[in-house]
Amino acid sequence: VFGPLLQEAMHEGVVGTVAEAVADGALSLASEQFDELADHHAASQAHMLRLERMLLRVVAALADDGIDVRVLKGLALAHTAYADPSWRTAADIDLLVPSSRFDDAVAVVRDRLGGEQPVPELRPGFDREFGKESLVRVDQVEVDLHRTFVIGAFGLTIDLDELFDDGMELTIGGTPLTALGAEHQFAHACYNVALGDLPVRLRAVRDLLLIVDRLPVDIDRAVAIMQRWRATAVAQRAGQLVNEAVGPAVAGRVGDLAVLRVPKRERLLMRSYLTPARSYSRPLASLAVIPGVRPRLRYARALVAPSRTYLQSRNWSGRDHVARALGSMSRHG
Amino acid sequence: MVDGSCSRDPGDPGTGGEMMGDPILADEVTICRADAVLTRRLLDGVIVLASGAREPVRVSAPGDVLWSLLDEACTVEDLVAVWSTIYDVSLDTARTEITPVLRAWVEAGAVTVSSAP
Repeated sequence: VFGPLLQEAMHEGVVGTVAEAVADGALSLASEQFDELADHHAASQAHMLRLERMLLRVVAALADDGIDVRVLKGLALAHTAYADPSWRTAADIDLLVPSSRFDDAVAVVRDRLGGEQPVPELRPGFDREFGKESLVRVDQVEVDLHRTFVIGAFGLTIDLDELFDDGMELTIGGTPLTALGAEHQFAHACYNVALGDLPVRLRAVRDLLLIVDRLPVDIDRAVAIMQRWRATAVAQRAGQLVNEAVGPAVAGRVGDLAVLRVPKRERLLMRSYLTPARSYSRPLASLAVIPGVRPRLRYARALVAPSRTYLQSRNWSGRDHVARALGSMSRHG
Repeated sequence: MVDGSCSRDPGDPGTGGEMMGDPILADEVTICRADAVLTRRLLDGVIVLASGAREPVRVSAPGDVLWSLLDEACTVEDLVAVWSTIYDVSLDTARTEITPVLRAWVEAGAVTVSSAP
């Protein structure tokens, strides 16, 4: 039984949670099982320490350029929402950067820290205006510089400037850093549950539950923020998925989100995330929420005619790109 | 990942005598965690990554107790005395047991040492 449990925990990203259960006495293991778990957990935490060291380098380099950031996801949650940072694992570094400084931030990490960008942006300026994130790899570590929480329409309706209005301090290696404020961490966790991996990973569910349990979140305020961002559907789906994953008794107030009334327009946008052809339906749905004709044209042009650099990075021609999109859309309706 | 295991075997010949003659780890030397050191609790110990180190150092229990003692700066003499009390061993045995761990942390830059004025 233990082998499959450990495999499942690794798949779900909750090796730290199993370790916490053992440390708390909630789960008892035979000696050899304990040793196996201890080794996996130690390897994951060695990786976390390497990530944290890189995080400090990246944040210092960005600060030298006057770029404000918010630490996101695993590295932030480990130090804010978890009882002990050792109980959270992460694969990479996630940082939120202001849109106005997005290109600068990518340049700093790429040029000053010797990073590589494996996937170039669709067209110059696309990531800064419409993108979710830019991945830069530094010394084998993935640094995800986020402009917004998610790809697609729901990532474009978030008031991104607002995310820098407040913050929650955390300290790593004696260095003060800033995560999102409590309500924004809650909202971000809802996006990860509702629009992240399909099916939802238990780690995302646990993150959301721990944020509610351990951070000073005003859920009514957080929901009001998400309604203002036209993301009621995201909150509702997060509540529904958490209910399904852990049951209403454990889901508590998070589960109550499942009964939120979702406007019809948002239901349509949500569909673009759930279809098998979502890699194409999400960008199309984005056109519906981008304000202004010229920005829509820039967005559409980037989708239809990406830069040669982008196509080369994927070994595609322009014709391949369009054919692939049309084929996928017709296959999946 | 470097293994900086701490032996709790009283029969281990260890290096306790060396520590007494080792000026870096002499009794009056004060040891504390380095400022920028990164650390995590493990199921069976602690893992530490100093700012200048290439790899994290994993220390098995009960070496993690030593790390928690270093939450505040203390002298080698105090560490030996506390260790001796906790595990009910002689001072020499305590020195023998904590020496390799302290030495691994000094070499990794995870702790700083300073002599008394």
